[in-house]
Amino acid sequence: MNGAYIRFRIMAWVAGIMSLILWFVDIPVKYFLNVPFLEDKIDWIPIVHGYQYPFYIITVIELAYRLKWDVIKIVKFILAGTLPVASFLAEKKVRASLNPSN
Amino acid sequence: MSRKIGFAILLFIFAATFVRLGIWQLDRAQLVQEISKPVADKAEVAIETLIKPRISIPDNAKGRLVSATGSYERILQAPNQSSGENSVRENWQVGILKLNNGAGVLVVRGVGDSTPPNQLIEVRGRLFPSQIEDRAVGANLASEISRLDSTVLLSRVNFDLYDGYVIVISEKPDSQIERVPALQIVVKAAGFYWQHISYVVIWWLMALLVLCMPLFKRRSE
Repeated sequence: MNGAYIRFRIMAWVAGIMSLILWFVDIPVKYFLNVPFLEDKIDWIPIVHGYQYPFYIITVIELAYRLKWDVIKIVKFILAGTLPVASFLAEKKVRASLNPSN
Repeated sequence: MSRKIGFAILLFIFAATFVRLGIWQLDRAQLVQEISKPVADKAEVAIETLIKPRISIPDNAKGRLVSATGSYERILQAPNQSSGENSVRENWQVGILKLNNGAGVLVVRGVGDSTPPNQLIEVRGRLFPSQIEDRAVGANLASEISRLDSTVLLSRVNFDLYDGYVIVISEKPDSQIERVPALQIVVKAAGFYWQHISYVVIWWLMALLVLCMPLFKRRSE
């Protein structure tokens, strides 16, 4: 259980940070700002974001299986990995449920 | 029982949709790969045989290697231009080459002040579509052109002009001027190959998860 939680926690942070970079760096530079020299330097962002997300999903599924979550909760946690900040909140929620005293 | 069948059909529809979305992303990845492949140049042609004056350049003429023979009617400066190879802004020397058929074409000669000889000149270069946005706002109309677009010059010449402009690769007789790279036109497709492949992984993983949902449902009950 502890290992699954740690894996989820790491991936929730990675997914959250990558979503923030994607939404607030990659998308503005590519679609709203006219800075062609910067566009080439940020090509890696959507690629890294695309590959870390399946790992995030796998950690959610592992945790969900161990904690016996219902389907709706699983879907919510999977979608949390696509929105900035949402995965941080998801991680906080899991931490609170595992350590009610904190 | 009917509820179970309905649930199974719903899961199947979701899984099939996710698989189809994965295939769509796979197609897009292949498309991006195809578009980014370098394409060999077609044979050089005389510009008069490829396009007509006062008519927009057709798509199949954009980026073609062309030749033109005529004499320079006027030399202008096009400030704040860049070749796309780097982001350095330069002042390009642009000539209006009047061809034997009486029409003129905008020709980017290079960077610098080297004046072309006052005689018949044979130009080889690559044809590009007109620029849409001004590169130099408030350009001096007598000696400058705000963007590489023949429509900007219509009121300044008394002959027809071809649409677009040619970046010179060579001139005969040659003059010592620093040339601007006449690079092939690159068609940019949205996204990258490996980015689309990552979406394929995500969609197919989603399809797999949907098919495993009954397992999670049973476990949570």
